[in-house]
Amino acid sequence: MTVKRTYERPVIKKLESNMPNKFGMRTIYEPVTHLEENAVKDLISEYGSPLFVISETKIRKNYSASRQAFETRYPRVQFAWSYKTNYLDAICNIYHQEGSWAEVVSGFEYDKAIRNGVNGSKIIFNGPDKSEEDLRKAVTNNSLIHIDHLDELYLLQDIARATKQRPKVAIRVNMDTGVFPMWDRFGFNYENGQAWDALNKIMFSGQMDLVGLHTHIGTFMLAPSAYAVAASKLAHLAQSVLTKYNHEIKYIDMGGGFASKNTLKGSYLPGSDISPSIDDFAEAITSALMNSDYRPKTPPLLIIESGRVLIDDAAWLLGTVLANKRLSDGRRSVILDVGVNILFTAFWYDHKITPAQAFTSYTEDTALYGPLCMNIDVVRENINMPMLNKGDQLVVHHVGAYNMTQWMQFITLRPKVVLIDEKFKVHVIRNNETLSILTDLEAVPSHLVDFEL
Amino acid sequence: MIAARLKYIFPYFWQSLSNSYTQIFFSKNKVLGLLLIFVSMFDLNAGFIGLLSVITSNVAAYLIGLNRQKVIDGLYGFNALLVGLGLGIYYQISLPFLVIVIFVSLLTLLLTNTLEGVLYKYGLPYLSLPFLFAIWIAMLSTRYFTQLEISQRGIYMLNEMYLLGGFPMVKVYDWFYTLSWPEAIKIYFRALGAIFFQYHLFAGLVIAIGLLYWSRLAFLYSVVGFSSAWVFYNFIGSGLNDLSYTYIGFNYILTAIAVGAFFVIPSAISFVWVMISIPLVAFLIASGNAVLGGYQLAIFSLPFNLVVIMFLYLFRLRERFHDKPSLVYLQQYSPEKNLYSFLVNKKRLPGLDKIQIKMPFMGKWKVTQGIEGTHTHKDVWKFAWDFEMTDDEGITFREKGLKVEDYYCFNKPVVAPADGYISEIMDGIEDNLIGDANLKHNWGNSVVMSHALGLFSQMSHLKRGSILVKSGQFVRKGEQVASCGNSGRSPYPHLHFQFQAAGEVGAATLNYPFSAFLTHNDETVFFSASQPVLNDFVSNNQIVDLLDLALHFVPGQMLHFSVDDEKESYHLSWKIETDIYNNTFIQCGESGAKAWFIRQPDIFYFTHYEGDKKSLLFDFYLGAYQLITGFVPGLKMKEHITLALYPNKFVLAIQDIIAPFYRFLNAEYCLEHTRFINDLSTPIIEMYAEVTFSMFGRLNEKRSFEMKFSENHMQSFIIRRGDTKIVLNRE
Repeated sequence: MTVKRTYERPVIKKLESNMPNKFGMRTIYEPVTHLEENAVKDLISEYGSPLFVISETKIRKNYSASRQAFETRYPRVQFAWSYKTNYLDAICNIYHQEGSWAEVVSGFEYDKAIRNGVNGSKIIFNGPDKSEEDLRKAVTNNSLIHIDHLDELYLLQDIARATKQRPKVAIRVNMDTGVFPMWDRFGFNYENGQAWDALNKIMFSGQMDLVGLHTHIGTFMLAPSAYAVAASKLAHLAQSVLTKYNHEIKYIDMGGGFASKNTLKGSYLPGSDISPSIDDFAEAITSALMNSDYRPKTPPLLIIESGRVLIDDAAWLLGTVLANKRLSDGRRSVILDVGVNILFTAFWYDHKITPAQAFTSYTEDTALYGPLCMNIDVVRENINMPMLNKGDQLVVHHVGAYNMTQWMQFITLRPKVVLIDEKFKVHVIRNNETLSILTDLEAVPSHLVDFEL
Repeated sequence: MIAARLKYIFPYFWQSLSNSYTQIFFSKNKVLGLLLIFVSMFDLNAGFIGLLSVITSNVAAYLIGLNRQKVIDGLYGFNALLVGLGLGIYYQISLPFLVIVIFVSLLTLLLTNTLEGVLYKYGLPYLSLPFLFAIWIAMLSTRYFTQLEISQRGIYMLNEMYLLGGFPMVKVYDWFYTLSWPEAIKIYFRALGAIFFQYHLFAGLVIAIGLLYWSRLAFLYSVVGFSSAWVFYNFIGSGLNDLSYTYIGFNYILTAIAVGAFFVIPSAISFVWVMISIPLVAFLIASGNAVLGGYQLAIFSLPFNLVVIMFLYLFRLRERFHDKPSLVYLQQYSPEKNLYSFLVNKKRLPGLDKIQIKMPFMGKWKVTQGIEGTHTHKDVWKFAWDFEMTDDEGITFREKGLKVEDYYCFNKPVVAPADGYISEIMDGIEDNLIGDANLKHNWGNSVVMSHALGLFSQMSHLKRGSILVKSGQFVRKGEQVASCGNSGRSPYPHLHFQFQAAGEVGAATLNYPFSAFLTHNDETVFFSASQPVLNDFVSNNQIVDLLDLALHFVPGQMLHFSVDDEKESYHLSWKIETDIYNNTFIQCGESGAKAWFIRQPDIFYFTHYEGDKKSLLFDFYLGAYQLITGFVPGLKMKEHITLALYPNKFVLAIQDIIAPFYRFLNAEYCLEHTRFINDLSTPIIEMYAEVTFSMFGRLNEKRSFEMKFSENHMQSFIIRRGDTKIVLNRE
């Protein structure tokens, strides 16, 4: 039997005859035709294109690896799932099943966590935007409120007085950890004494229980040493509180921001090579805490609010080639049905993208564009890709973090999200949007209903 | 008035009196005490003199200031009692005789105290040696005291019976005596009576009933001892008349109880020891009589004393086979109670005298070589463990495992397993490449810690330069001492851990348990005073502050509860107490019941219950029989409870008789950890416990308990017995 060979369009390639360089002559990579036993082709034919695919196995594996990294270095560790990273209910619940608490940054996220069944006392409420109503709810539920600014502190004081309840609070601390840019817009500064001042205000008020200290030094951090600096500064604050008030801080929340294996735009080497492992972050944080001066009777609980590093590589975005085009400068471009409206992280990362079917070793520098009629819709400005035909399928890697929360309904409707469970069975965990879902929210005044053209 | 005065002078009068009688049979049973006093009064004269001697000796011991507990236990009274009874049988009561008795009692007390001091050093009891010395001294000396009159009683049994109960009594005795009982049984009863210097069947019968009531096992051993003697005498061809004539058959009975059931845990092997001891007693009786006969002295209980003391010394000096038979360390004055406690506690409480040792790491590690492992844990280094870490798939490394950094355990903190001083450090040995082994410095970088006299722990194959401590430094449990590495004879990174008796790197290993750890194989299991085995996934028990504080009972502390038993609600108070031996117990203010407990860092044990079983404290004892201070989701911990607490007394009495061989009763405790609301401000922990009493595997009685902990205390304790539900809420 003769196998029909796939058609590949012809390509003319300039012969590079200069000195050989260390990157070699050609790109060798494999197509990704299957995701955990499910063929990409089948997934797309069943659930449509584009399609987000998430692996439950990978999520649990990432979680247990991170937990192991911290628990083998520090006696008391607690993870809190960062809702903003991915707040699909199914995803959150996997983390909750694994033992994660919830970390939320808005009233909406707070309500979502409660709706998922998280006990109020295991919700950490972060962020600069907490309305009075949100705070009252959080106080009643015994949630852990991380105060971001003095106005919030005063508001909480009023609520405590009015409701005669004692809010469980921590303050968010920002500090110089030797990395640029320094995140000083959230929380109270360590170096200029704001943080100490806020702690004193809380202790003097006598109306709140100071239970923790929180910091979140940045995002996609590539330097574990910065966390060691942050941990020792928080430990110092905790020790100061212990010395002055004989009050033990119950937990130290190191936030998140650990880099995933994605490649940041402008980075010379791929993220898979340069991003520190979770073990490196764990080592930096725990050794700083273990070696700090803070020696209460029981060591404080170490809370990690990591999001990205736990989920980024557990999700893929499947897409289809809509058209091929040659640009004016002769570069090849390919239009995909995946755009920045659903792949928001394309603004930050050079995502790894692989074809979902076999190809030959011939490649061409290609620009990958999304389907939007907007100039900014660029998925990859320049990527070495084999010859793609209309209808070919692609897999975008490491899309688990932020895409399914920051995506927007713009020009097209948002696609389905499916989860491959540990037995490789596929479940739809978010349906695609339909016209009516959007139009149901709209109202047209009666005088605007009719028109004639 | 007199009673009140007596209470002021000597508050333990009745207890010490009763115990002085029962101590002769190694008992503190009140019923047996009453029966023995009754038996001693068969001969009013002797009974009275005996009573006088006991009181003299006990009051003197108390007023002189000897140990109160021993006075209460009758340990200073029973020898004087025997002396009094012995003298009372021979002499008529007269004023000079009473004076002599009082002084002889004091002499007995002095002898008791002295012999106790001599034998205590060897861990041996003084038994009735003081009685022997005292009565021989008294017998020899009173021959010269002409004011004393020899009693005529004891020669004509019927006269005595007449005195006791008139003519009907004589008739009864005659009928009883002429019953055609086997000779052996008659002699057995007489021998029992002879302990109290009563040579008739009645006394023996009453004593036998008392003995059976106090302890089925003691009775059983008395019969076994006696029949062994019977068989032995017949075998060697000596007539039974010798046995009956000398009236010292009780030596066999007491020896059997002491060697087989009281000082050791009753078991099949203890029966064998009893049978070995009996012929020795026979030799001593025959030879002793020959010697003492020359002085016209009776041998009394000398053979029993010598044989028991020699056997106990033999058992005590054993270096091996300590369980054949096991000695009793916590004497409960009941062979069956001793046996049941032993059966439960040998598995449950082996770690009480051990130093608290934790796993030398954080998180979950896997044992990749255990004790007597296949690679290097051999010979004198066999008591050692190798630990590694794996991922969920059981692989010990990420990537390809070609670099030491790929191994999950590499560079992980190694922590002090217990408080101690650093005794030796070895550093500077390079970490091997994967697959390589440094046979020259086979231990690699190591830290040896000293935890107690003769208890050291060694951690080896550490990462070069990772050692954070200095020699001689004091390190607290859980503090990091180094990081896991790959130095020495280590082809891939792992942590080697061993206990040893000396402080040098590589000294011979010591068989020692870890005080508490969890294994996570198919399910999570809690172990105390144990050792992990190959392929176990092990972690430390994480102590939860809430439970740690809630189960921290301080002597003097009061526990107040409001009780609601569906009919009425009332208030209940318990007090935490300690005794002079530093044992702690909870005492119910109302019933006086005591529940003894031991608290270790990881475990709370109830060890012993004494008092009214209707008290709610008994339910608390059962429900909180064994609690751990960590929370382990899904934990199901099973433990046996001593059968002495079995609710059906009749069934238990039957069980007692065959207990050394077979137990058809079972009392079991099961603790489940149900819920932990791990809230930072007000954590709540809920547990469920069940106690089942079953016979031949069929459930006989069940009690279940729900416990709720929060705010550093046990807040509620709910008891369910059948349909009744009793709720205790903390006040």
